[in-house]
Amino acid sequence: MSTARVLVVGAGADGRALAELLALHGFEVAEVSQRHAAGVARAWMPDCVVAEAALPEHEGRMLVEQLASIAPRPRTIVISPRPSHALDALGVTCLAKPVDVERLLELAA
Amino acid sequence: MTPVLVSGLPVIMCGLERSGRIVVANDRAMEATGLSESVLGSDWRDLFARSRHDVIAELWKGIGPGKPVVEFEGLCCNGRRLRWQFSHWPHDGNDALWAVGLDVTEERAQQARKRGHERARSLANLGAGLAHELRNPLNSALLQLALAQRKIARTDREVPAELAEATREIHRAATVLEDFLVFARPMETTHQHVEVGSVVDRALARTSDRATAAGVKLANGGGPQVVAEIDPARIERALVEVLANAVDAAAGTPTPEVMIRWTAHDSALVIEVEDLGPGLPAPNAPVFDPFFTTKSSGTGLGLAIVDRVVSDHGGVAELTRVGSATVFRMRLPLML
Repeated sequence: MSTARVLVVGAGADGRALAELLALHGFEVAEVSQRHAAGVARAWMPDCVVAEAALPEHEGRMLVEQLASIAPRPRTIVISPRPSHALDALGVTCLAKPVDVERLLELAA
Repeated sequence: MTPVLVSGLPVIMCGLERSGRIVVANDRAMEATGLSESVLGSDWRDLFARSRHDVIAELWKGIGPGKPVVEFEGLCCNGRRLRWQFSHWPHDGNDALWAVGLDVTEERAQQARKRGHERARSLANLGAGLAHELRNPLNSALLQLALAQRKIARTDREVPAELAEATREIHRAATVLEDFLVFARPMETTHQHVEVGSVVDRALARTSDRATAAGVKLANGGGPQVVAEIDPARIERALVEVLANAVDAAAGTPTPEVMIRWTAHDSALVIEVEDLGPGLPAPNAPVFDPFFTTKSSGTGLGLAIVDRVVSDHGGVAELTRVGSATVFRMRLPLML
């Protein structure tokens, strides 16, 4: 069980399921749409941000830019149907869908 | 134009009477039609299937003094594809025809190959797009299952085994998609000069965990110290795939052993992987066809990927039964 703060970015059933799953594992979880991600992250200071991205290189980069002003920057995990290593250099972990839940829990903790 | 003049021309030339009888033919015509000297005196239309004779007769009706040339293309009786242009030829005061032809067999074959490649590429793109899209619903299903399992686990009830089975099936579907994406992706081949033994060593290292878990001994039979011009990453991946298959086949057999070795001769590199497993389901089983598998957990794309890697190198992959052993063999050109 982890008590880390995780911000789940992405509305919809998957976002809700992921948030609930993380909460069941003891994480303190907030769920937010992409539009409000940066504002909530600045105010709430999560340890980890988990975001869904259809195009990880584009959306992942945008997310990193949005989180850039937060120090320390939260760990960032992008879940995508098109996994890419292009964000490795930015310290973003990209997981392929369908996501390995155990690995996600490890990375978020 | 006289027969002397046409004889040495690179194009195919036939002078025809209106009846179709060939009265003049150059060397190229004799060669391209495969009829040699006997082409003279024969009916030009007989070079083509009878079903096309009416079409040709109709075309010839439009040929006359001052009229534009008429074109015709067809498969000649010798299997060559010839493209012709007909024009009026006032031969000895008679109304005759010139038939000037080009052998377009290779050009058409190239065009057909190009169309085939384009079709395959667009199908691969379509398939890859579909595979990516399928990952979204698989992810949703997996998250819901994971959530359900954990919610039940927090109650007094036992988590139904079916949920774990469904989760495994989703992961299996994801593996099929992953393999399909590797198969469908346009693969660039980056050739380098590499020592074959080092590629084999890396492939063995990557398979060792699987072999240990299956209780199978991996043996390096070795080979000559030789440098080949190959894409090391792709050949290594292909060898890992073949070794993994051999390990699965050898697991649980009286001789759980897999041997890899290589030879080089006549500018060819031959790498072999041998196991004493049950072997092929049938001697001519389409083992390199996509989605062919004999394993309940296999995706059927592993050997299809291997075949593609080998053919991209200008080589040949084969799987045969030699005595009680199953031998995979990849034959590659040592240097391009």
